[in-house]
Amino acid sequence: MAFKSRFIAGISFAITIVFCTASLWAQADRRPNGKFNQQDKFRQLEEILPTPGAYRTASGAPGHAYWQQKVDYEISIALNDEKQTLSGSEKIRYTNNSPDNLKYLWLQLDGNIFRPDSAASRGRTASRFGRSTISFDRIPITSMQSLLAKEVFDGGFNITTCKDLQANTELKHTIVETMMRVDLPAPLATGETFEFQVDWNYEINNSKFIRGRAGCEFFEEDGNYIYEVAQWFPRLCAYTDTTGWQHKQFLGSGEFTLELGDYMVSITTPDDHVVASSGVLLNPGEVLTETQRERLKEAESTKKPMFIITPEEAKDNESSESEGTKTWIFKADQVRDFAWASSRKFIWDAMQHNVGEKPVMAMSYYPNEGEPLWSKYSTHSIIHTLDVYSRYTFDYPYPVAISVNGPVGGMEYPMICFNGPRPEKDGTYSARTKYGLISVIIHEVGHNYFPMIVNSDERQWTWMDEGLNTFLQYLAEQEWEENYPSRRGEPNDIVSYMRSGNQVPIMTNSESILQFGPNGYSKPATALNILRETILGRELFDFAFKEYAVRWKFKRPMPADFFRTMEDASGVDLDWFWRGWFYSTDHVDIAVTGVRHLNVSTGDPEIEKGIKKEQRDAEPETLSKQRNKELKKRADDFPELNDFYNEFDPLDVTNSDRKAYESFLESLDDEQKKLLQEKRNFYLIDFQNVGGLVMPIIFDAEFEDGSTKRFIVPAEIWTRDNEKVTRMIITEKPVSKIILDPQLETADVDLGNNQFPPAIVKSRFELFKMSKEKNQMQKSAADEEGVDDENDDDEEKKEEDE
Amino acid sequence: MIRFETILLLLIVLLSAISESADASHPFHVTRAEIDYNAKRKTFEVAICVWPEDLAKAVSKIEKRTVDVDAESEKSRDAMFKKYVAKSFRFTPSKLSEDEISKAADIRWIGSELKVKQGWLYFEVDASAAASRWTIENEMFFEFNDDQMNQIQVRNGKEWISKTLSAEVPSTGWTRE
Repeated sequence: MAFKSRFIAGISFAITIVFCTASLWAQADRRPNGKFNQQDKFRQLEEILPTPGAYRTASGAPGHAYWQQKVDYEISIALNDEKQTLSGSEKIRYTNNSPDNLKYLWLQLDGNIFRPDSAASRGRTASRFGRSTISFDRIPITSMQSLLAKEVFDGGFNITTCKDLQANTELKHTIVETMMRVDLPAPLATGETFEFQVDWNYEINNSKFIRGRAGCEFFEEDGNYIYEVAQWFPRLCAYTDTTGWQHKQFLGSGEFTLELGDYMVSITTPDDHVVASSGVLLNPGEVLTETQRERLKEAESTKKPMFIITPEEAKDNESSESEGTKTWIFKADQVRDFAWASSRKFIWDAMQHNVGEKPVMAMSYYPNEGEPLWSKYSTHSIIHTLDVYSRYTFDYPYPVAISVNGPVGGMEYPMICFNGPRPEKDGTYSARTKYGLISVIIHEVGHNYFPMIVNSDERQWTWMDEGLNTFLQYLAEQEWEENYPSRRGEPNDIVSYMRSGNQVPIMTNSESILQFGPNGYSKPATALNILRETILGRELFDFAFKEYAVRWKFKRPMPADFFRTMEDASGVDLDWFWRGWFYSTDHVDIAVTGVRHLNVSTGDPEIEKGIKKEQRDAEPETLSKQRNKELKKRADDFPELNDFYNEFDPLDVTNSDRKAYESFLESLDDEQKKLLQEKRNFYLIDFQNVGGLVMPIIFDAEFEDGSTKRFIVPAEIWTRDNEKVTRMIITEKPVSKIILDPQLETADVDLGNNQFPPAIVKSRFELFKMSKEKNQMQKSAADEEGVDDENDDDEEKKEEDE
Repeated sequence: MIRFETILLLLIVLLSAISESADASHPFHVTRAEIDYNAKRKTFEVAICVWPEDLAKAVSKIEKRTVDVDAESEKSRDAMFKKYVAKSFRFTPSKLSEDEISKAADIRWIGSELKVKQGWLYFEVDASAAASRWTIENEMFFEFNDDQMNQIQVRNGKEWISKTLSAEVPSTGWTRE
């Protein structure tokens, strides 16, 4: 229905709907004296961001005096397949590039989280011991096993040696939970290097009972293990210009940050094991067969992934018995960590791919239990990730990229990642498993860019790598195939989380995050997608995002560096966006609350007075007036009582009106006369910010003929009043409907107030129930016609598949 | 006194029995229920969004076999989902007198949608009981995930509340105005 028919032309009507759901929590920050009774949603962030300086600039780039430490490792590690233990020795070369003298060094001992007396174990709330203890009457045996295993298993590091290599003397070292302080014989000055040795050993966690980011998996059928080894050696903590020594203990959620450096790692395993690792294999002649080496050579020019170890060969290896050990030597430069995997069960496929000018060997390692899924999708997923991510950031700088299947569901390390999904035992798999595998590989390989190369600190800020990476994962997934079922990225998918209670802002330390997945992954990824599609546009966003990645490649950015670079490189003040999406728990809920239709005064008395007469005549007759009509009037009996005023109608057009109009027309120039002849419709549209988060107002005006016009109002419309605004639009055709956020691009949580005239929006439940009922009717109609039921089932299945 | 061998045996049994396998490094243990109170029909209309993987695990446990929810017929899987929902999701009206026995309201199953991205379960709950105060509990997947969070959003006309149910707070109150 058109507004015109509802509102009398020439008169303004305002309809205001009062929403009771206005955000009460927003009132906390309001000034009580009533001078400006709102929060300042556009307040600049400078006052809460760290002060820029020589290390980090106000534009978000590394400053002229930016520095970071360098730590190089030479490690020998031996895997005991009988006892599932590791014992190693490392030579650490620490270079102090900071302007400070260091009296001691701090190392990470992440494995100590597996000690029964670790802070993570002792500090775990009751609920995190397993809800099943309370919810379903009794403790299921599986939970009890896991709980008890945690009580007795000690996967912590045993440090057997810590010595100064130059002086060949023991170093005083103090273990504090998951960290170890090594006291230096003399303060380490700027530019100086210190070399020391640490020896250690530990028992690898069995992932069945003790979940972790690494672990081993036992296969009962063939008696073999797959080892995924990570966070396995004492690693230097980061020492930075922002926090000094990283001093947050490992509690389980906040992963880690480390220093970049070069690694030389010798891995000794049973001689029939195959090792996948960060870095380049330096001694293939000693550990690979001639056939494997030939196949690897062939893989440099293959057009599709090819086997280095075939499924059949891997199956044969399963029954092999090792006679001795082999040592695999790997070199990895400019990495912040190092991980590896080992098993005699591995199938191995590879395909070399050029990223920019540089060749990268993409490889996958998996047991026969991963087939046929892994050989079909893993290496392709790696290469696809490198192509897409490199386009949005920088060319992948490492020589290899590896995906391994084992006990870990999904975890990333430089050049190598662990991914969990497998098909059913009979080799079949659901679409969910297939897409789950592709997505997790894209995600974990994608972590090479954030945070392995752009070395952000996940111990502090989950979103800086999980959020940015999930955003790029979404872009990569959408380039895999049309309508790829991405779980995160689309604004509409985050609506229910944004509406939910029990939230913390994205800018929350990793250990304090509530609703980890939506907060650390989905919300920042979706916010960036909205920033790209709706706020900045793809060109501006992509330029700024790439600038951030390039600026901080192999460096250590902080949140402010991201916020500042995105503004610096786009030329757009986004402080309101960071404030709303990253620093608050506000959500988007913009309502269209009223529409007023205005016409331009023509000045023509015949038209204008005629309109006013119509309005007057349209006014309702009161009851008394109606009844009084029948009364006998004195003026009827004495007509001489009538005079000029009884005949005069102030809305009659007079000669002076006509003359005034003529002189008005004469005063107009041609342009103004033309404008007066064109019929334009002016609408004042009222919007209310119910959710608190300021955003652009995007709406369609639908005209009486069914056509529409899109209006995009920037978020800055809310600068003076962030609760209520009115926007004027001018149209040639009369408007019949206003539809807010027609393409669901802002994550608006309530579509019920997005239309004017208001429209009833059916709930998901109602829509589903209606579709079911319709299907039942169709079914019964089909029954009457004698159509086979099975066909209907097929039809439904097809709909689902689509 | 418990003998050392007994303790050792118990330990071996515990460590060798089947348990949960590792999950992704960061958990995504969340369900979201959109509940509309339909005053005209005196019914709670519920749509819950769940991860299909969690659902498969839950029904497998009840059925004591590995259930491939995608392979099951719609009828069969709905029967399993219904059973699980009845076990874990409860709407209980408050007692109007001391003698009354507190009993969860009946659930009427409507159906399910199983997509690659997510699954949706639909059911109605009879709200014809006279009590105005209700307790809503959702314990889905608490038996698997230590950090499971079940969001519920209850809408009554224009008014809505949003609560997060967790191990520590597995239920919430709701008053029919």
